[in-house]
Amino acid sequence: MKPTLRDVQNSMPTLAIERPRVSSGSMTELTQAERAERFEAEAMPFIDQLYGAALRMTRNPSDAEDLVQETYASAFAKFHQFREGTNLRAWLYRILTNNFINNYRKAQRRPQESSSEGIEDWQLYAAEQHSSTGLRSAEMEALDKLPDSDVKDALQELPDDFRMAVYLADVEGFPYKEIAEMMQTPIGTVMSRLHRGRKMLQGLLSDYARDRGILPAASSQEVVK
Amino acid sequence: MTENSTPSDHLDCTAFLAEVYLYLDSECDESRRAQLQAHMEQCPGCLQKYGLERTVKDLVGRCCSGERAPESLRAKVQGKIRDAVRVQSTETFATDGSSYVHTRATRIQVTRISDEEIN
Repeated sequence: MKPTLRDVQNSMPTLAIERPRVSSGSMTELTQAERAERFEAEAMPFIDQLYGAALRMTRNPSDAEDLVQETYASAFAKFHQFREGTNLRAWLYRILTNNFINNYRKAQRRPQESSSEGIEDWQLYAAEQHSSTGLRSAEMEALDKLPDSDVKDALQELPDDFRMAVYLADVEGFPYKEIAEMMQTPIGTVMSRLHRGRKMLQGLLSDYARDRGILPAASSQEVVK
Repeated sequence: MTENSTPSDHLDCTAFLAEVYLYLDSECDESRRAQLQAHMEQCPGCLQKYGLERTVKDLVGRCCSGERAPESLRAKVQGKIRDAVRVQSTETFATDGSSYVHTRATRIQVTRISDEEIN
């Protein structure tokens, strides 16, 4: 007796006959598969940067890993909304910062902050004097000698909002407008946080440099404020 | 208030200091940038002030970048993407009685990833 199809099927129970359906259902599935392939190819290369950002934001590796996973999951789920050819990196960072703000950021925010900060600080800053003394360039040289770990530690000490603004501007190089979108605040607030964050950072770094003996203790000629 | 303004300066130090960040972060237009730069070139105090800001910005950029994601994280993320789209290829051997026919069929199964699925 000639073997029938059924005989063949029965002898290989793990195989099943499936034919690709030519229906809109399978076209969608094909598109989704292609999209996933594209997502992997285009988004995965950013994982190191995103991890770095997550690490600086959350300040611990375990939270950073969770944040990165959440970010990729959100991004993948929304990838059909992403317009090809636009800035994928910024798009991913927006998702990352949004997830951080929603899930990880400590409630250090003062309610009045976004209204009272901004104008005042710029006026203060504008009124600053500079002294053309040699002490400033000694400071520059000393700071340049600090080990990476000191700089990371100093950044770590900044409050969340200052730290995020400084990180996005100085490490990732995003323009103010992008940072404002990521932090969901007006540009003026970003500038203010940058200013105050950098000021605080300078103070901390100078302290570290003094602790290490590579910068002399503050003398009377320098008004550090 | 300061003694550093020169006749050719359109900017004085107060104005410069108010905008030094815009220069540092390349957030002003070309003509303003040129004015700020011109002031710096004529004013050592402001130049040093800018120099310090530049130093700190570069320092942060240098020291806090270059992190690598752990391999396990990379694998997890990649795994999730691939799990979401499982491409199944099945092969069938059938016979019509006189010859064997080999068919390959591809079935694509897509699973939606939701935010709750993160372990």
